[in-house]
Amino acid sequence: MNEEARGVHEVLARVSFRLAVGIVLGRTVRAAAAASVLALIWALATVAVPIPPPPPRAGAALLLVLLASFPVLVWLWRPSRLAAARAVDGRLGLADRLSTAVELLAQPEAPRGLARVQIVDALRAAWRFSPAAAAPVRFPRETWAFLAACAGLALWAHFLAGWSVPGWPAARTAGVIHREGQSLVTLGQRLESQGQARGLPETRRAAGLLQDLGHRLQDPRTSRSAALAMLGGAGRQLRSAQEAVRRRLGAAAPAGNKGNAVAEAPSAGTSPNDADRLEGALRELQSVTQQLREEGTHETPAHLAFRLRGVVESLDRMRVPPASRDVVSAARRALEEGRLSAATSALGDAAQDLRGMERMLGDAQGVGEAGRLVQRSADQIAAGGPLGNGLRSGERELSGAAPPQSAPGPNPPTASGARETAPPPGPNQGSLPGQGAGRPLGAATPRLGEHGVEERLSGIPGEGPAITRDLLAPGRGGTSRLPAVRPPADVAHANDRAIAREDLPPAYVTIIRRYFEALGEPR
Amino acid sequence: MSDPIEHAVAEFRTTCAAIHGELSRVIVGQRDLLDSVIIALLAGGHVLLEGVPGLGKTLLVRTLAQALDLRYSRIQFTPDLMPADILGTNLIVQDETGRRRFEFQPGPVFSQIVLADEINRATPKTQSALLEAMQEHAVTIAGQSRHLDEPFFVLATQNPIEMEGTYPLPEAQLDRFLFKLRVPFPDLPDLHAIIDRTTGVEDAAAHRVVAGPAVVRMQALARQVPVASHVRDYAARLILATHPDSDAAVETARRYIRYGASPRGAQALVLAGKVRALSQGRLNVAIEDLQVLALPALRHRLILNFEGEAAGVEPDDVLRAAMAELDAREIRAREG
Repeated sequence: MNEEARGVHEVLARVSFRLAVGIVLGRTVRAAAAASVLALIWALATVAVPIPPPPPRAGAALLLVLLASFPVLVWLWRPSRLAAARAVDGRLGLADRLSTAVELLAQPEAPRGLARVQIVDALRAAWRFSPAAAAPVRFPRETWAFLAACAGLALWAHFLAGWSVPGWPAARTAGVIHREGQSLVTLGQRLESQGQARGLPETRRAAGLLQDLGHRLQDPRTSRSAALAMLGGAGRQLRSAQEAVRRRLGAAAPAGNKGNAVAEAPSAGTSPNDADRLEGALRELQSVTQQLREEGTHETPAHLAFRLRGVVESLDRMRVPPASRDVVSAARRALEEGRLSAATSALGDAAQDLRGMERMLGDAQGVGEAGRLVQRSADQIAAGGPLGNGLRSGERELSGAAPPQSAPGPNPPTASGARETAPPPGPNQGSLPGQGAGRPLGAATPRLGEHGVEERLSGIPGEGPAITRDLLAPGRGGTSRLPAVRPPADVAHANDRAIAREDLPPAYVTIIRRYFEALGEPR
Repeated sequence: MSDPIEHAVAEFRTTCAAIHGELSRVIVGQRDLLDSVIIALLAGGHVLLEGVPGLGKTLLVRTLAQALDLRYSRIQFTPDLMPADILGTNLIVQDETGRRRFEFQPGPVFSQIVLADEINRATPKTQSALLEAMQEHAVTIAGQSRHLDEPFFVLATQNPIEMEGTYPLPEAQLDRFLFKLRVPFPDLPDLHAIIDRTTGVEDAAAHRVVAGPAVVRMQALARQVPVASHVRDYAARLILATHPDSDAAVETARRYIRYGASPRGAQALVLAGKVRALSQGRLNVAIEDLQVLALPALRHRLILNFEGEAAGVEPDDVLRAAMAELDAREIRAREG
């Protein structure tokens, strides 16, 4: 009896293991099916609403976790021997023979009488079946749902990822991404031309980066999260380039102004006034040098020295290397002392230094502008679409503290003045000094008897107050051959009724009525 | 087969089949009814047969008595029937010497198979005279208790359509019946067979299959059949499911039942299940046995409330709903 009982227990242990495998398999597949169906719904929703696509790594991680935990779950969910016996009874139609025998065997006293015969009967039944027949391990019906959802996800990844239904929020967000890509390409082209014209290496690198980024954003399958990731990467590169330019500028700046240069550079790079002043100073130096080199100059050395004084004062207001300013001062002193050749040589050295400074300032300006546009594009894309307010934390970090904006319509609101970038280049772009694609322009032609006076205009350029005024005046006298007469009463009355029918502000109604009355007055 | 217990089990099954065969020689069709009567007999219980007249209830009982070679008596219950007419009475008897003495004259209950025909036509007082006999297998007359011979098997009949002038059995007495069996009307082939079998020259008759002592041994053997805990639990939960105030009650029971089945119902269910298992050559009670026997064993133990009576709900409907709910709970527990 004991040996037979042990045999039954072994068989039931195998049945129990197979039952546990079946249970775990069923639950695992059901969980995977539910997760895959949800992922498919999520993926399909991306064509309608601008949400990030389901992360494939999360799915793979979930699958790995399920596979790794399979043996543990089989061990944990293994049914008891009695439960296995009941399962076998139910599946093989043994009418509770095995389960009764297992209970009788578990009793402390040895079974006697009919109980003993019952155990023998159950043992005979137990030896007739195999564990595989009693507890077949089958994939649940939900396996088809899992496979179908996986196939759907694969099809979505190959054909539908990045696609959006026209007119839906996702399409509007895709439009925002595409538009920002276009603007990045345009700015990149402009910076490229500037960099070529002025010899700005960092600007040209930033321009290439912007154009490449813009082309990638114009890919219709670029999702918002991918676009924001690309913009974040580009922003980091631009910030790094800006930092390098700032360090070079700081190194070139006078010792007393280094702190200021470093502090001001990150926010706005260099001010456009500095670049303009520097350009003006360079032009002035070239003019003076040309005057000195030409025979029969119209200006006296004293006059030229006076012009150099102005240049030195202008350089004082800028953060140029002290050596350059000292060289210009030395040239001025040489002019005052009548040493024209020494002054010419010194002015040449100073002009070379200032050209290098000008290139650094141009780089700082160009890289800063590129960085601002990338940041603006990130803000626009992050806030794009009706669901733009629901940004994730990472996206909000990238977009900075920009307030959420409404969905851009056909006429999207422009950003504030501080963030507004330059308009795209027109057909005559490059005609301004320093911006053309061709040969750099030389120094401005001096006008006889005129000295440049630097004027500073205060205030912020923009629209002034708008003033409107009612202008009531008789029309210009015509050549009508018919005398003007008063309109008939019924016509005037019809005119009044027509004016009253229109949906007009009351003040306008009065003006319009008076206009018609003025027309009818005899002149 | 050398094991005496295995031999007894085999003999049990053979005897059951033989009894069934003999009954089938006389009774046409009614296979489930015959099975249930045999189960009730071997479980030591009593049966309440419900059916319209002419369905062979009396013939069934008589044939059973012939097949078992047991003493058989039939009591036709009428409103003027008195308890003494059933139990017996003490009569004054004069012997050869002229002395007079009381002598007990046993009534028809002192048989081994008693047919209480139309039991609901007698008064409750007379009906209750059967109570002690059915429960204790003994009667007390004039302060003296007299045991009835074993096996003692009461089959009572009642007509479900003629209720006028009847006295419905009280719940206490209904509870003493192991089964309440409904005798179905025979179908067309069975009717043909009945006509052929009863209008010919020879009447079909049952032969003796087993004697009374053998029946008693079979009853004792049936009680040894083991019952697994989950089978016992099923019986208990089925009983609780019929109690409207129980947490385990099914919705139908809560709505239509006034009182659920008594613990005696669980006893009847398990005991009958043991006999059914043995009669099928099985040595343990299965849930399937309980499911098959739940309707005859419990239907007369449920008392419908007014809403149930008004809605025409049958106790069988409640029991079927309870079993379906228990199955659903079992599946949920297995899967969850």
